[in-house]
Amino acid sequence: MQEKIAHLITALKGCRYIADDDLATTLSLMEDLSRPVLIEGEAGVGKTAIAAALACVRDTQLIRLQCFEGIDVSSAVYEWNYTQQLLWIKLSEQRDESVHESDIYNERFLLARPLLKSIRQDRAPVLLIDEVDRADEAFEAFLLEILSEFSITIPELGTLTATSIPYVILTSNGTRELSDALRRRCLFHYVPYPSYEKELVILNTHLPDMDSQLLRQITRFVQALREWDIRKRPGVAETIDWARALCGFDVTSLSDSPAVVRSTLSCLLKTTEDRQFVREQGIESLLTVSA
Amino acid sequence: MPDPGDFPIQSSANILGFVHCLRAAEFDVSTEDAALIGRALTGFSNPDLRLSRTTCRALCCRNKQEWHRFDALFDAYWFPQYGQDHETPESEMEKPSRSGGGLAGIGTGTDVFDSYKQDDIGVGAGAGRQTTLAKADFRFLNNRAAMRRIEELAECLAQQIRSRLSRRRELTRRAGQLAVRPTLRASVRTGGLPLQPWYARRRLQPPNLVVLHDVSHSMTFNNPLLFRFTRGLTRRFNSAEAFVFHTRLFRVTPIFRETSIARMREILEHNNKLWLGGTCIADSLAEFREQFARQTVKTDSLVIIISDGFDSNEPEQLATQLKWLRQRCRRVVWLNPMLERAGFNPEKEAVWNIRRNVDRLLPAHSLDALRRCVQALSQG
Repeated sequence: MQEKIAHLITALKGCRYIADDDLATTLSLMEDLSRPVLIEGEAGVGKTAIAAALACVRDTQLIRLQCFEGIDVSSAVYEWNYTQQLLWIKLSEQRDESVHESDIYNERFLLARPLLKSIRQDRAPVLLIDEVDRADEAFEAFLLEILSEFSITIPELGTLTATSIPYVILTSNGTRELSDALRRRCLFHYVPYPSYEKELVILNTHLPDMDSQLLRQITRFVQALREWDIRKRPGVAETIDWARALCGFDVTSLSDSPAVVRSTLSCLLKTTEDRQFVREQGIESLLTVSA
Repeated sequence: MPDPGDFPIQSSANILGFVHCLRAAEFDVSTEDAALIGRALTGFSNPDLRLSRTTCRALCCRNKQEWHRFDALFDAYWFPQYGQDHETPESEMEKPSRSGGGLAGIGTGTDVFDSYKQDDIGVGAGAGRQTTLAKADFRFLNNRAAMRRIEELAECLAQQIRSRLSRRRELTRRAGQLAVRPTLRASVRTGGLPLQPWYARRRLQPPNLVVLHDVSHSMTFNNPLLFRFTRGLTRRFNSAEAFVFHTRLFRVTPIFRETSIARMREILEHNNKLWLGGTCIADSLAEFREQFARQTVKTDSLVIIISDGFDSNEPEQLATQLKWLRQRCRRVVWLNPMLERAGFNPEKEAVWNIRRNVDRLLPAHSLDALRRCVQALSQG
């Protein structure tokens, strides 16, 4: 098991995702126990990227279902292609052919949406159910059925069982409390903001050409900024964006370019209040910490 | 720190003991989970401390709070010689807050309740945390973690209030019932062939919520929970408006919309005008009527008054204001945190006066009571 986890960490790193033991163990258990994983954490810490990285490691398809308020079966599971059905009926009428129900309701006219698509792959795909907390409770209950049975019943066709069990990853930003039933069926992993060391490795992985001293400064700056009482703390994605922006301005040291740092802070601060707050506090202390 | 070398987790008796320890700490670990832990750990050829810890954590934790508490519990069970506490203090889990006060019980939610410690009414007396916390009168909670938890639950609960299904229908390109007329109209463009059908479904309509929250001195003990509840209601719907009152009324919607709870507390505490004692409910409602009602109260609004009902105005004044409010909006619901409390004996006339002038009068002294409130509020 230890070797498997170590191998998975290396493989994820190869797909530009820096995973710790915790995450690798959870992903291994997901595969061994065929259980979905529920991943929670602040926005921008890399929850969605886990699914993409796992798909890359397993060399399989990533199927994504983005949840939203009001999501229903037709957007998540399947839908009939009414346009084609009508055309087909019209053509049949022109040919004087009789039309039976089975002619219209068959797989030819079935539009598979992410959940159905995920259970009908020959090779187990990674199914990402993103921001499940945005969906309503009725859809959550429906998900429970699918995640436990991995089969979908279509009244006109019957029950479609999975040809392969997908690796299911659910993410949540915690905007709504998920039901105990859903949590109980999933393994749980929480992604916190990364430590200094981990964030530095992430930056090095994503921006290998950048000066390592500057990357250290950027990481220290962002880590210190996260300690401030701001509304939306920057995630890893924001840090990478900011590093890229600084690179575009040919910055070699943060303390030597305070004006550029100020003007590019929009990469890190995403609300007016936060910008105002940081402007009032000044960035000098952050620059001192990062130097 | 425990030594990762010698780790005796493979014994099934030990694993069961650990599961019992987790359940005692209010983790929701099922028998199936216990079997899975056993299967996973005993299946490893050489389970080390780190692997066992991460495996158990992935299988036993259900949320962020449990995730943070897990390490301390794990170490306390497997390495008692290191003398770890069974529960990480809640204060250590959260970022230090810049505010240190506790005005009206919103600072920490604990200082006010410390005075109740002498009653020695804890939370862990029942069969399990979920049930106990849900039914516990939050006035008697003396455990910091439990208080925090119940506040979080109150906010989550408030966010479960549903949007109403409007009688109006909206046209969509998918889902819902086939809308024949628009489909036929659209088919004209394609020579009568209905290639792109239209569907109609009932529109989800968020309620127009107005919350009037009593923050007078008599409500001090109730505020830690009810503030979070009000915050949840305000954050759930963009159109919701929140006001607090004692002898005067203030609009606090932007404060409750703050993402950071610490910042919300800080702003509330620094707003001294909000905490002047006294209660004039009728006067406050009159002020609301004059200054804010035109902008905030619509014919389909749901007005929620959160108050214990202790008022220095005359009952007739309150009745007049409530009558006006009830005529102006769809429903007026009064949440009273004292209503089902033992020892609370209000004047029957006062309660009757409120009851006959509002649509619902509901208790709000515990999570269960708040859950019933949310159900009542969601009923249209």
